[in-house]
Amino acid sequence: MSESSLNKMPWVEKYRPKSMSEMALPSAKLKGHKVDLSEELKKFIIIFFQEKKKINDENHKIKSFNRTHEEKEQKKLIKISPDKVAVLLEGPPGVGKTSIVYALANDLNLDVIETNASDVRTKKGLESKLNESIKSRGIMDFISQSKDKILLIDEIDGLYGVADKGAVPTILNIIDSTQFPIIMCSNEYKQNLQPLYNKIHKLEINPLSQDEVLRIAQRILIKEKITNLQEGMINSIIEKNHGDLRGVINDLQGISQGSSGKLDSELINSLNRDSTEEIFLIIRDLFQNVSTLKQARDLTNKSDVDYNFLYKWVNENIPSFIKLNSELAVAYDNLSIADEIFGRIQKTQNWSTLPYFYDLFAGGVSLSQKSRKENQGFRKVSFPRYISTGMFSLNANERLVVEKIKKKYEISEIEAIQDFLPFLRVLASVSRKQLKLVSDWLELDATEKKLLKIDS
Amino acid sequence: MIVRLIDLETPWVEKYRPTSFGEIVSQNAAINNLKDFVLKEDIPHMIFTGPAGTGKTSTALIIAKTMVGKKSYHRNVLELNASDTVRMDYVRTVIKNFINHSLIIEKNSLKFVILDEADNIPGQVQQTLRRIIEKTSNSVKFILMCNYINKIIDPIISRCAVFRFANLSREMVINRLKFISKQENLKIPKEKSVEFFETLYFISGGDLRKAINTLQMSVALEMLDDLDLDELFKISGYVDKNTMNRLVLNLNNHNMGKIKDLLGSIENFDSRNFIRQIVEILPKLNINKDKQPLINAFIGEIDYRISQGADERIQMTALLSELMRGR
Amino acid sequence: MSEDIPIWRIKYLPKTLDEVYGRSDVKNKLKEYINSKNFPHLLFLGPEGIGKTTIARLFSQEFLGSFYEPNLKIVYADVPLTSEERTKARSEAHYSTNKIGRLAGMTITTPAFIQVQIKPFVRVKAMGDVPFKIVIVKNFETLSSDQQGFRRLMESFGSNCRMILISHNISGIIDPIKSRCQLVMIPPINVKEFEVLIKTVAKNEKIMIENGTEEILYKITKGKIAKAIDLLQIASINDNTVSVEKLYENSMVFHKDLIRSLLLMTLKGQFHKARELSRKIQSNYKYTVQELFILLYNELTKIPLGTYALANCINVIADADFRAIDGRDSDIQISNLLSKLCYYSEFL
Repeated sequence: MSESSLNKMPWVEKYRPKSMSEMALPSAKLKGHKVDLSEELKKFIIIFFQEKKKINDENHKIKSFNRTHEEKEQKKLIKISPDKVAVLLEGPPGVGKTSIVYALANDLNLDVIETNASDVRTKKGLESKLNESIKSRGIMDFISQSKDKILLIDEIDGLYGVADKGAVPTILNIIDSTQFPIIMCSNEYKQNLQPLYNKIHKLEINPLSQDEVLRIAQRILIKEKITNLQEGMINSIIEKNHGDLRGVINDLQGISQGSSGKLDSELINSLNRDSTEEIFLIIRDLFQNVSTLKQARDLTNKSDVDYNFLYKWVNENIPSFIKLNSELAVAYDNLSIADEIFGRIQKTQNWSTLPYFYDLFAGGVSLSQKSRKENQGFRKVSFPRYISTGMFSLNANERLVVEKIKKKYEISEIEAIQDFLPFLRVLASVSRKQLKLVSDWLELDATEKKLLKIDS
Repeated sequence: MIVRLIDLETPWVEKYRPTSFGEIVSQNAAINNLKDFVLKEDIPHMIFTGPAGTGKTSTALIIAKTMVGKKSYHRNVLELNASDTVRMDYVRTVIKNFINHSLIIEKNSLKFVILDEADNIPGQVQQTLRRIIEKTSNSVKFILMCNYINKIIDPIISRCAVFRFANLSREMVINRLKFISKQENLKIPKEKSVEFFETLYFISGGDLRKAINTLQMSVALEMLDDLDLDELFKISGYVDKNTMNRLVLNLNNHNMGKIKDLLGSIENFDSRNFIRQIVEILPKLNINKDKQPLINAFIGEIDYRISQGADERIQMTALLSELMRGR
Repeated sequence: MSEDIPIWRIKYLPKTLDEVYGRSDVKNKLKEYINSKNFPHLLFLGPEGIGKTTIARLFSQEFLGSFYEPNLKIVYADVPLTSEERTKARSEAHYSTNKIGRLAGMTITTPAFIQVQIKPFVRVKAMGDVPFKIVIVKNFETLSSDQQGFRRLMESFGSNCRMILISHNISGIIDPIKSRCQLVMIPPINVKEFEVLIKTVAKNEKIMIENGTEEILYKITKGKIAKAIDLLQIASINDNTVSVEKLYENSMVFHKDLIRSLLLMTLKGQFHKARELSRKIQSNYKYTVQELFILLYNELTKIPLGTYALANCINVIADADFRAIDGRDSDIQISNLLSKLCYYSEFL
């Protein structure tokens, strides 16, 4: 991957470990006993393929036998036992379940096919989504020398039908017909999945310790050359995310790539440990449990959270909870009116309209959802990642580059960022030589040079 | 070619400002009688309200000059406008100093405080002003000028006599323009002379200041030799007839793409002027009679949005798309 | 010794008033001013990107001669003040007289702009053997109702300092300013002179251009010289030849591809992706909400939509534009527009 596109990759992807040996593996338990996650999973995969081959061969023989015998004498095909086909990783979000699977696949030279169970609303949908991946090899597989695969089903606890027991038979069907090993991930124990738990192994993954998370975060920050984040801030972020490493990494990226550093620290500092937990709960409640305007009002009334930030949390998390475009349009209609009212309040200092602001960003957004059924189950709540001040301002690196440009060419900052720099990027992308010519002439150092790279 | 710097440095609006009551040109009887009213010395504070370019500032200055006399004008008249009066401390200090100063030096002579663009004065500062107005003695008179009287707080309005200035008539405007042209020795091609003044009037919309400025601008741009009225139109932020006709055609043919392009091709786009021109061409569009009121209301809505800061071109295109659909 | 400048538009920037491409009427008029060692406040008008600021700068430099450094200042009225500048201005705070738009009622930006950027300069007497200093203000119309403050400046300090105001929209300039300035209309370079220019560049850079390419280049860039030279440079870069196809191909690169992608995403109903992309665009280009909406609006006609679909999309943008005026959070306002377009896409 080119260096330029690496720059704009989400850090969660960029720093995803490529091998299990690279990882700080969380500890895990199987049936109450501590196990080595790496060993267990490797064993599972290897055994699957061995068993599958054996059984396929056996079944081949049985089929040919059956062709020459009457029905009452025919033998049944052998099925591989479910606990050799699928395994469940259960653990809190962001602990590394998906990363483990990918690293494992990499180590064993397998491809990963990933699907997310909670996105699918009907049983049929799930089946059709998975059918392509689980059925026998398609034409493409014959043409391209493809590797064997692992089927990763994420957020199995968010599966529709978990509530009314339709899910387990679906999953068992899939286990029956699959050609590839299945690893499922879930965030928490679900009563209705008990029949499933009885048939396959469940590995309980423990959350990472704060120290482990801190170490990983610091490593990434060093690699990204971010030096202006104070340790206190990093620790706040880690605390708020409760062991969710993915959340921590995303938040760090969001903050260090935001355009207005000052506001970000205000945002962070305004949240102490108690209010963060509160916010998480409020947001979840707002989207999943509120069904009347009064409930919405009560929810926002009882919280101490600064409304200045609360509505930004709502903004950030709307797409997590609301998926239908028609509902999104209503939600955002209300939220944008709330923002408009808020702006007018600031301008006129007429605070009497504040209640409308509340009603719109809380109740208005929540009630735009027509049905709650699809919405149950765990949904991740994110820190407001995008801090927008709406005013043109340059970060330190941009300012340096613009100054250097201005030394050679009379131009305004706005033109430099919006017109000239994009042109330079196109020019510099043509060849290494061009990049060198331009950056040498402008006398840019290595960090400043980065701004000349085209974003992917 | 000698560069005529002198003429163009003095705006003609200033140069030809009426200096006596007799020169004031107005529609309103009350204003025409202002002279008599004012000479009675027991005048109230006054508010002059009305659209731009209708003579408010000129009248205020004439009143001040007549009452106070040329010699002591600068000592007895304080002129402030919006950018000065925006700050409370400035208002307090300067006005107070002026008032106190005059009281010490010359008792009993009339003083004036003239506040231009009073509707731009923030509410808080208007409150301060009102207290000052209340407290000052009889010998200091305030004259406020504004475009929208509802922007002035009630306590101030109730302490003042309100005079409404109206847009000047076509004749009045054109006569004045002709007068100025004569004074400045302008060489206007005869055949185009009538149309020229008509165009200037249309562009001004009854705002004499705008008419005079447009006249001066056309001279500054050396347009008089070969008078291209279309060009004048365009420079004043109006759309030429040709483009308007094409617009009508495409509106009736429901061609949104072309309409958007036409709008984009207009240089010097001025939404207020454009709306006036649209209202003119409304009869040419195939709009259902039932939809007329809605269309009119929407025109108002768009005008409002633009006045609040929305983007002119986007809002205008939205207006045109509604016009297109009004069949 | 001339360093070899890798960026053509800078390499071919005129260095004196004479070297300015075309516009001989304007140049002659300006030369007269230089000869008479005097000129009134000037207002340069003309479409964007055709060279007004360059002409103003070269004119001023020639007028001021060897003393131009301390006596010439170029300011951009549309660039907001930095936070240091804002703090400095606060001590002499002016309340913005803007009643409309984003800046209404705020205690920062433009009037402080005059305080911080202009006043200190005009107050100091001109240095050396020059009749007065010069301030060039670009994008003057963005000062909107704060132009009044500027007028007073022109009156009080006019003898020590002349203003050259630059704008592309005459309707945005208030009358009192217009009446205090000599208007100078600056047209774009005409086609013939443009072709000569392009041929010269091509010869110098040893590129082959097909016949008729210059005309197309003029059409695509509407006579904007810097953009045309940029396009020429990009189009010729791999093999030193330029054809009409290459021009069109490469002009797409400048046609705000990201904006187009954003629009397409919303018209496919992909809200989440669209929001991520809009955030990326914002952090890179730092457009205001209104600027972004205008870019989306401009891209609309390039997408094959039926006439009513186009009309509806425009209305959606217009509503969102109006709502965003008072909005505080640009991400929310942008997301609002994106969500509406995504929803509307289901009916297309």
